[in-house]
Amino acid sequence: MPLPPGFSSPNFDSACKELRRVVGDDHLVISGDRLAGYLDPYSPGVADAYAPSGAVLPASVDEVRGVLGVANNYRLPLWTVSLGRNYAYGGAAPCLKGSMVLDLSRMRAIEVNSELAYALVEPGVTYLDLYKFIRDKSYPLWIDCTDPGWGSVLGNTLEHGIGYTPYGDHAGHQCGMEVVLADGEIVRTGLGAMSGNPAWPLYKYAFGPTLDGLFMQSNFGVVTKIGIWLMPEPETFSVTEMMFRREEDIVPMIDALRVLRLDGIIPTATIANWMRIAAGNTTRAEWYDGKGPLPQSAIDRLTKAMGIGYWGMRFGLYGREKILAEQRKAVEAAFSRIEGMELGVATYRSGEAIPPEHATLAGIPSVDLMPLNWLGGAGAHIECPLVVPMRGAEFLDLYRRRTQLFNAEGFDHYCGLTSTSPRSFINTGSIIFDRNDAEQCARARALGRTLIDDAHKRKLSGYRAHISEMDFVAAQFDFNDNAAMRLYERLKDALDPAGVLSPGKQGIWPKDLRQAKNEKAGKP
Amino acid sequence: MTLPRAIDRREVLKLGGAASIALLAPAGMAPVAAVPRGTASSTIVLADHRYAESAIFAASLERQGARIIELASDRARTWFDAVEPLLPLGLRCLAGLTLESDLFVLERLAAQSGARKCYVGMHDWRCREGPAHRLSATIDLDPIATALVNGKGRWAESLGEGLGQTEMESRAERRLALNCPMPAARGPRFFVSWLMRWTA
Repeated sequence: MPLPPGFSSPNFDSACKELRRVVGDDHLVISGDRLAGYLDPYSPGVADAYAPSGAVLPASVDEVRGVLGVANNYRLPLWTVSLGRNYAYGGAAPCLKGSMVLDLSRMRAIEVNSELAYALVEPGVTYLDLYKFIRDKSYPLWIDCTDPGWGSVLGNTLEHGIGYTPYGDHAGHQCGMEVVLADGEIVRTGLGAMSGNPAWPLYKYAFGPTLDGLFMQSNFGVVTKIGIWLMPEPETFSVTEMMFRREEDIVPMIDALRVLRLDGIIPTATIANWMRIAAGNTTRAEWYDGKGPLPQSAIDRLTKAMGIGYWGMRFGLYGREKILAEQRKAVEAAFSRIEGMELGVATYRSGEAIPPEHATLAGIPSVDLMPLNWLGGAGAHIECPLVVPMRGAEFLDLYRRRTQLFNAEGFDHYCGLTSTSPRSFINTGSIIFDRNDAEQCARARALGRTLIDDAHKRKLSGYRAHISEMDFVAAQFDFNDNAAMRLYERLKDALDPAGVLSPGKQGIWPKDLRQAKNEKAGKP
Repeated sequence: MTLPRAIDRREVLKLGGAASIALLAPAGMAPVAAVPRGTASSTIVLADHRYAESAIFAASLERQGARIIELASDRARTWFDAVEPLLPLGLRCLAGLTLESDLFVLERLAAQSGARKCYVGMHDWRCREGPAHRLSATIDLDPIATALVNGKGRWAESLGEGLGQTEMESRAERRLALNCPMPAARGPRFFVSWLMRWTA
């Protein structure tokens, strides 16, 4: 494994010796299978360029502070991860080769307040852990989980992750945060800035600026605890699933959904194209064995055989049965205008078993990576999900363009739309490839870059990106000569003058590395 | 323990029949699945009943003493509810013939309790060039390779038999590619066979 930039072996050994004093011998990893586990498993052929030098696993806030002390003394770059399962975006691997992964997975405390419906979690708590904790205590609360649900609650929230219940905007339902700054100072945000204030996890805003957002998708501190709001278990949970036959049906679908999202009848909703539905249940070879994207004849055969439409949409409705009945009427009235629409409803009363196919809509975490088997081999995916306005005609144009781009690189277009806000979608466009196939990896990388570039021409951007594309995406935020990035850099220099925290995260580099990078690129 | 001499790929391809499997797994070696029936099995084999190949492979190992657990649609549930509780009861090996994503998930969940992958076979008979089976292992590969070569139309069953006969002593990683004719079949026509073990 590589050394951190500028380190000699003796220097690195000396830093490691000090880190061992902080966390213990077993919790510093600098070789073997355990270290290999910090490489990006979904890397499209560039994992070595993002290899860490090691990983350090503190178990407490005090140990985090100790690690930061060593890092500052040695100017050792750290790359903070909660669990490192952010796989499509780099997993645990750092932007800067040779960084030491600061792995917080040993910090696993959970506290739940069932009366006020919130939880306080540390970075190592997974959605599976939180779900089990609540179930074991029989609290009448639901969580919202991402899919797959084996990731960190805190990590996903900080990355602006999403789920599928009305609490699907994870950052939006975060309240209260504890952060260790680069110099070791511990800060609590919002009302947590007052010792013992019981409203810390209840109300986002306090006296003074709101700081929480600064520590999301950033490298200004190490977040060691967050509060998240939990959803009271509804009296009734109803799943609506709809199918639409034609590609162009997406226009009236989105326009109808927007109205129902804005007036609050439908909470978070998800739309999937034929490939996302097919890949969730089958593999490509079951439909077509030739090279290149599936021909239309195979898509037609697939949709007919599976009994699916070109598009599927689904969402949950949650609450009192009488209210849900009225909501369902509004839903049917809005979508039945689209010719050929098929609608199915499943309803569960409180306490009834919810089958696996509806689990994520009920905040029940599960792990199934079936879509990654689409092309066979060792399936992986990368993506840069766009934020797109909820307007039907505009999206159809974008969809058709992206289909062309996927197909031009020989891939089928995997498309999903999730609306955790009523005015926009997160548009996932997973590039699924065989990570053991160098030629596919090269095409996946090329397509990833093309999709980001093409979206920028429409003034659209991703809200997350693979570590290899973070600089590229960050550079697109160009208003007033990249003023936002210049502000981030000023904050970075003030809060982390030694530049030890996650260099390069979201394109934010510390001063020394920024100057080197700019000189290399010929920038002032 | 005396190990059988290493054989090269050409020799594997020349070998035939059950006699050769016996030759490569002489008495005295500990096969993967040789456990008394009726006790907590030291080997669990996961079966994905959506696919005949997976079920046949699992049944083959079951006949040699392994216990079958059906893969739930939620792979985490399979791990946390069905497999992990067996660790204190003596579980030592976990095997399967599954889709690759299942190995990806289970390998990571099992690694937290110290399991390490010691055998992986990629089996691919879609319309493509190259060998149908690519195997790698840090245990003896020969019984597996021999079984695949001899298995012909019943490759999944033979693979289970071969894995069940494999001697478990660790050795340097070895890779092997085999091009055997594969039967016409429906379904993915791409599977991965694998074995993880807990050595501590």
